[in-house]
Amino acid sequence: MKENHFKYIGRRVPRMDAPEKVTGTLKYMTDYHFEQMVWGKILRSKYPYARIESIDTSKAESLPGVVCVLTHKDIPGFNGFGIVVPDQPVLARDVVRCTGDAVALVAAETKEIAEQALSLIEVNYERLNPVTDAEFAMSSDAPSLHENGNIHSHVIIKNGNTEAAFEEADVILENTFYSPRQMHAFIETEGGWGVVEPDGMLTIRCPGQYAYRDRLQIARALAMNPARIRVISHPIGGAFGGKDEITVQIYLALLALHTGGRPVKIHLSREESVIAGIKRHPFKVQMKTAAKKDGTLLANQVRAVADTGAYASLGGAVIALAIEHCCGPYKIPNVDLEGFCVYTNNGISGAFRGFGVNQVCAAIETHMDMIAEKLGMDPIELRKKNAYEKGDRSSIGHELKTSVGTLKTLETAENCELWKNRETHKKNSSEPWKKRGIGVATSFHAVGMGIGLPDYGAATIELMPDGTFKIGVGCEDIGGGNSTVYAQVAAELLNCDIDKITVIQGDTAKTLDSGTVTASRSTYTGGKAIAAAVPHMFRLLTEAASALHKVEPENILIGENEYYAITENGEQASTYEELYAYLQENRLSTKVEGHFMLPKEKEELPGSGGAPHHLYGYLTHLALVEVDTLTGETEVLRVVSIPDAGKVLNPQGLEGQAEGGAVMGIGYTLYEDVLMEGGYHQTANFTNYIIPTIRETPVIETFPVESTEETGPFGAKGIGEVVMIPIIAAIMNAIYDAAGVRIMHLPATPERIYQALKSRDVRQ
Amino acid sequence: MKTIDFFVNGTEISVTCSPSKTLLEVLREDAGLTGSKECCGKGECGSCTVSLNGLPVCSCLVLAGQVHGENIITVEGIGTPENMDPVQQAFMDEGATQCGYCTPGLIVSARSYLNSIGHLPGLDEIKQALGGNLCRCTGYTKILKAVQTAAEKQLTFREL
Amino acid sequence: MYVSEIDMLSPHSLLECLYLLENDKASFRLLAGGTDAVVRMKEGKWQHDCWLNLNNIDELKFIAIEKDEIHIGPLATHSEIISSPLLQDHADVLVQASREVGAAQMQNMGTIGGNIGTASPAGDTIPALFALGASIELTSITGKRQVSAEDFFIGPGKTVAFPNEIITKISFKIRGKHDIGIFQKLGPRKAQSISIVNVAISLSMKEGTKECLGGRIAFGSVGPTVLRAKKCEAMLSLGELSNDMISNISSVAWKEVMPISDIRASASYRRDMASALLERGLYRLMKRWADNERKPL
Repeated sequence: MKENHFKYIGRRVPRMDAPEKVTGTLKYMTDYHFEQMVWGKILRSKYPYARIESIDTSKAESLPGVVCVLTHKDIPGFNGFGIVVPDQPVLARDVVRCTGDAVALVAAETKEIAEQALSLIEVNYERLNPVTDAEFAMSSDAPSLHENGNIHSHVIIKNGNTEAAFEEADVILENTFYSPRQMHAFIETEGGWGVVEPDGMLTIRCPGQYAYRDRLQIARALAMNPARIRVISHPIGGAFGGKDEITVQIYLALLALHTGGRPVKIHLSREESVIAGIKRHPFKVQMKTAAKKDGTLLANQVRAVADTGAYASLGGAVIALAIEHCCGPYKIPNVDLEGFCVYTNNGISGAFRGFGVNQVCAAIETHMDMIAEKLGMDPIELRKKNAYEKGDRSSIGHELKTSVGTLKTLETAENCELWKNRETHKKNSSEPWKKRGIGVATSFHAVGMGIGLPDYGAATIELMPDGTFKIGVGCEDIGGGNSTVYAQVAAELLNCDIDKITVIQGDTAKTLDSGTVTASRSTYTGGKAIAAAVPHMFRLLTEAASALHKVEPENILIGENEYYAITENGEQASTYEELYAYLQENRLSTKVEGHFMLPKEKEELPGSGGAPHHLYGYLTHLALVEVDTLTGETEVLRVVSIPDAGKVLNPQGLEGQAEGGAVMGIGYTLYEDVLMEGGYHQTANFTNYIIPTIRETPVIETFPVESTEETGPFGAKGIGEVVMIPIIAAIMNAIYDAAGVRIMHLPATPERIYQALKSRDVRQ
Repeated sequence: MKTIDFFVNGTEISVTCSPSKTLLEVLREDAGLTGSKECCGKGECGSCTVSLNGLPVCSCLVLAGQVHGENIITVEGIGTPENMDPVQQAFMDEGATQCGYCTPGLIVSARSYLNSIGHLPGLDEIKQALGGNLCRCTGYTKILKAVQTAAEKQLTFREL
Repeated sequence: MYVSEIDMLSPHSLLECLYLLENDKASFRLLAGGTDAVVRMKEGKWQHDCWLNLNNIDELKFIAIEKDEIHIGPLATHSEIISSPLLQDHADVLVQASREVGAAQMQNMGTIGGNIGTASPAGDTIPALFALGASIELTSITGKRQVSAEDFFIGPGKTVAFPNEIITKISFKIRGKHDIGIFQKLGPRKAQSISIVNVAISLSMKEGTKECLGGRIAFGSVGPTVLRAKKCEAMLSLGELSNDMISNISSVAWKEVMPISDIRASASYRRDMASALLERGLYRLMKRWADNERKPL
């Protein structure tokens, strides 16, 4: 290991927000409670697909304790929201397209009265046959759920000649994979509060992943000047993409306009969150992959269909990212890739950690395992043979200009204890009917938004009277720990102690627009924006010191926690407090800004919907599992996570991401699915939505390989998403290694594994 | 409405409310103690865990009328940012909190568990004790480490 | 009606409680640990006038031995059962089953009486009570009666208890050194899960051998109530419980259950799992028996 000469970068700096979090003193938005507060409730649609004939709110309005009842008629502005296409009504007017659709709002003195009022709103529906299958939705027999039909987006990437390649191939595999409707299952359900301040400003305090965009969407629905709206979106009790879209912000805003200045609070029950919240897109992935005898990949043909449910949200971007990543970090010369994002009446899908890559990685990495087996090759060797490096051309046909760590991660995997001793580990099963297996998979994930979308960062640094620096970054800390990383970057660059740094995030009144906390971008973007602001602060303080000591700026040195002036009487130090006092007395600014544009590729691949990205993070996973062949239960015993996130700014934070991602990946592969039937949710809450507990937690080891990315802050890239991607296929491959069955319909529940074992035994 | 008197973090409080109101709501709304969180409302997640006469329970399933005269400890009663309990300190040092919403429940479960044993617990024992607390961010690995670290410190302290 | 309008009475004696149940015109629901009852209240399934909070009735809290019987009060919590040395010695199957109820928080509040009264076909302690041949005492203001666990449950959520009766005791014969038991559960995950299938097994072994003198096997979550597997039980004493014999017995189990399909599993999987869990349980139990036999005293 290289010696770390930094004071904070690369160090295990404890989270800045930990003292407040571990003592329960941190106030989340849903923790606020006011004496004069009213409770807001949302009436959701009774049916997955129906025409609204009439809405009568008179009974609800006359219930004692009800403050207001609102419908689509009460929306002053545009009745719609959606990050890319605002196709989701704020409050349904004539049609409901899923059971999550909001039809009316109530504010009342108590939560109970509000709930009672909901039951008194009379909505007459004409029921329509719901469209619940994405393939059917694309057929001409299906009713059109939206004006332009049911195909929200269609992306294509073609390269080379797949037909010819399949002709000359030695191995061809063709399979269909199905993936579950995963729920974010953040522990804090959607909620917050809104109030019209005495001066007429509207304040919305609601956890989100992009306060500025939430504000725009609120302003559009309210027909209100966004400058008159303040959105505070931080802190957040978990998000994972599930709070990227509008959740309840617009409802809070509408109700707040009708409560006579009283604060209104909404906090969804888990049950309502399941019905109304977005989910990960369930995919059907048909894949045909070809290779030569020596393991060289020749061709990949993919058709992926994503069920986005009733509204687009980020579905178009999800399918685009899936297609961009569906060939893995490999150089396959011939590809024919196609993806559809399709409307149905199955709830709503949107952004979720991994953003479409999870679903396609499961397919390509299963095929890699199958090819290795067919050819008698070591699965890591096969991957190394086909992995691209910096400067190579990827399968989708663009040249990789930024750091690529795949080979390093695979080499680390090869040399780790679990892999080297895999035959011994496999023999150690705990009971005769239990079988152990080890699987490997590798993947990658883009950092940043891609072509066609704004992608910038901005930060402020303000010198405070007590000699501390207040760092402002728009990007919220959704749990990943970017606040601590921002403090590390700032302290390192400003050459001060980290306890002189405070960080504020996610507040349109106090931070600049810095883009979303998605796309694994916030460390990279926020870090670079802070780095861009630091020279301005240097200049400010140097000028102050130079004026204070009456020497030329060239004679000012930046020291640790102070500035030195080289004067005739020797070196004279100025503290930050003294410099602040000087600036203050002379009415000079104490605040600077830094701005940063993320580098992008110049040309979009035609039809790809935004590919390629400029920057990717890479990761290889190994998993050791034990399958109970009597019941089909699978236990993940050990995971090795080998990320390439560029330079690691905080090893503890990186491990936290790797461990959290691994366990979320275990949940996705083995347990989790929001089941729907006829457009209705069969899964209701945490009683039947099964996420891993501490008892399902394996031993997880994280071995970062640091392929320094020159454009990133101190060489860092992003990590938030790729940490949960290859583990899915690694577990699927390990199950095969253990029990000899390939589960291509996730989650790999005990029942699915058991049935596969049973039909294999019948076949034999 | 009934008047219910009970002890919270060592202080006797008196609340007038419906006996069917949950203890969690009483703590959050009437006592102003918002460390305990509601996440599922059905006893599945442990975010609302408080200690009832020394035992961890889900305060979302305990009714106000059941706690008259009882002794409740919430996360706020375990330590403060200025004076953290060893469990809290270990959660901070080991990086066992991320979004933090599940953390108070875990702190109460871990503290109650460590109070109930006199030995250094194995990983399986800790897993058994914390199986009722869901966390979606951390992958639990650092939580396990934090509880071990706190247990070691506590035991060393006792032996001294 | 609002939940906040539900009142609560907290009698301090059994007599006071029975009197209220008998004479008051209000509609009551019993509240023990609340782990099921409060959920039902929140889901709006129960709309009653008043809770009858049993937690102050100390005479319903006990775990005791009386002559050749174990007596458990209905307010004994799962945690108390788990940590009771008496039950660890004499009712291992019940201790194991109680350990599988939810997680620590549920075990600290939930009571055995509540688990019985709720009468869920997936309730974890019920198969254990079947395996122990337990008897349930019901008391009303007019008297007491004993009902065997097997006769107590009628269907999902339904029991033979009348509205004026409450469970006052669970009892079963103490078991000897050669009586061994095990509880096996298949759930969607290890902690905090509702059984897809569970089985409680209790065997009387002949000392120093692998011969079984008889036993009880009860399955949960595979029928409207917990079910005894009498065909399998009859096979227990046919010969030494070798691995072959265990698989023979287990292969019959699927015939003894009548599961339905639901969100957690299909009926056919549940049928197969009845066999699988029985096989796994008997194997583990015999392994434990052999290991213990080998241990010097």
